[in-house]
Amino acid sequence: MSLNFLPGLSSGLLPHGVCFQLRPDLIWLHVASDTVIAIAYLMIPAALLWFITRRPAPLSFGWAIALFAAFIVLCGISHILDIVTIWQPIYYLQGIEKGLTAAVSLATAVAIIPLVPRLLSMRSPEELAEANQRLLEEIASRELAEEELRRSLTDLNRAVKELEQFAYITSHDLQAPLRTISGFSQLLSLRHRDQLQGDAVEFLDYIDKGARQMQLLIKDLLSLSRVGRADAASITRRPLADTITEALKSLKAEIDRSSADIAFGALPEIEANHGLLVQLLQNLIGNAIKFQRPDTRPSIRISIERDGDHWLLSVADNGIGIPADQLDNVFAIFRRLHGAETYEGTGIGLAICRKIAAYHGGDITATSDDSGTQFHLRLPVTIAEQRLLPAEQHEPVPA
Amino acid sequence: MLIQNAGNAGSPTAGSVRAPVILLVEDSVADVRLMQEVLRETGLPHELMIAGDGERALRAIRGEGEYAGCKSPDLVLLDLNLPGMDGREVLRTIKGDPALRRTPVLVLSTSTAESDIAASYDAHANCYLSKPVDLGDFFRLAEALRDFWLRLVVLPPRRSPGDDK
Repeated sequence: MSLNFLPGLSSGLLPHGVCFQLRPDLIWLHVASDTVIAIAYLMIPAALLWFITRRPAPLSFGWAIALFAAFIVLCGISHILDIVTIWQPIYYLQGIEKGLTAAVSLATAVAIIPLVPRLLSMRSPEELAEANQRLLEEIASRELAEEELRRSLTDLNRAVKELEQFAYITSHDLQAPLRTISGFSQLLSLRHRDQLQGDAVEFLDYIDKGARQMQLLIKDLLSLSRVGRADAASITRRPLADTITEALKSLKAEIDRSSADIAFGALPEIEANHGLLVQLLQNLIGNAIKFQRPDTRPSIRISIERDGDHWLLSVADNGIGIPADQLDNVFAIFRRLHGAETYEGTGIGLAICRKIAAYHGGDITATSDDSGTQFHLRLPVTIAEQRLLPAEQHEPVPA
Repeated sequence: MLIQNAGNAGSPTAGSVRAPVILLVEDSVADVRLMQEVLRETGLPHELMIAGDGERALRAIRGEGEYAGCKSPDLVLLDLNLPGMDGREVLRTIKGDPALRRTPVLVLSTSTAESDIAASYDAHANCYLSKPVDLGDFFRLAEALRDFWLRLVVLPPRRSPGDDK
């Protein structure tokens, strides 16, 4: 091969081949090596480009990879130019290309250095797998805990239902022997009272009185256990005035006897189990009449006001009041502040009220001052479905 | 005592009109006694047959075993909770038997469970009565029973002894 066949000599520079003294073996050694390097340098960015475009998820540090690819491409081109310069002395072009390569490689180096700590903080696949495993274990343990919680809740709900069922059935069973006691004591007193002597009549009266008290207790216990068994479907919207009127109807005898003055202004429609609300009002109004100052006409005021998403229903009386330290206790079952001789009762009435309030997702409190006692019932304006237990079929109850 | 005559003995009900026969199915001896007393207080002549459990109740209404030769009841007062075969099954058996089902069965139970009430009517009970606790209420129940079931209601014709089988 002769240099005369090559163009570019006019620049006055000698092609690189001259340095190799035009030895074919040396020329071809360099050509072969530079060709392989150039091919490899061009293949690497091609592979990177392929990787970037085919990867579905967005790639972190994509710009760094692009910079790196540009740097390799330029390196590849510089090796091609090395081959060209063997025959053509395009050293300016080669110098410019090298300058560009220098700039890009420097930029790559500068860009990569701050990346090192970030790359170091990236998890290796093993570390990721381990972290993943830990997360899976944590999820499993949480699911287990949640399952246990659900089970405890189910158990608790069942226990509550069983307890209510128990109260319901026993209350029924208690009625049978009670019927025997009260039936025969009444029959005895009805038919043979005249023949009884001395203490006998008195004793018989105690039996009768005990039986009557027992009957009240059973009735109230049944009411209490029924609150929890109330059907969620019986939540309705109804004028509160109708509910109060219904409660007053069943208290007619007490109201007439005490000539109680009961007043309520304009009342809204509210959402509630009105059957239970009647029962609650009967208890509160009945108490207001029962716990009256001697020789005073009972005066009962019923009012309601809206407090955000709750109704605040108040029943205020002018009765004997409740000592401040007993205000919370009065709602406890069987809690009585007075002897049976002074005021009759079972000590269940206000426990029923509290349970009815809780059934609706509300609560009941009492305040008391010189003027009397005020009961405050807080009821949600909208009764949440999940507050209510689903209706359940009653078990057959012993007759 | 399987059968008890009550009411005004020797009253003019004897003869063409026979005193109604009531079968009381009840396991509590005290409740039986109480029912006897309150029925007697109503002053209405009647005969009371007593069965303490379900099997006896069925023999009584069919006139079998210890009840052979007894009159068949005009009315059954049935308690639901009985030892052995309980009242619910007695009711189903009576109402499922073409020879017995016309006899009115009055369920008398302390249970106020809706399921019991519904099941009784589903099994064609003629009425469901809540068993009172108070003696006064018991008297009123017996009087209502007398006035409605034994005076106002026209009971089904009596079966003659050979009709059962």
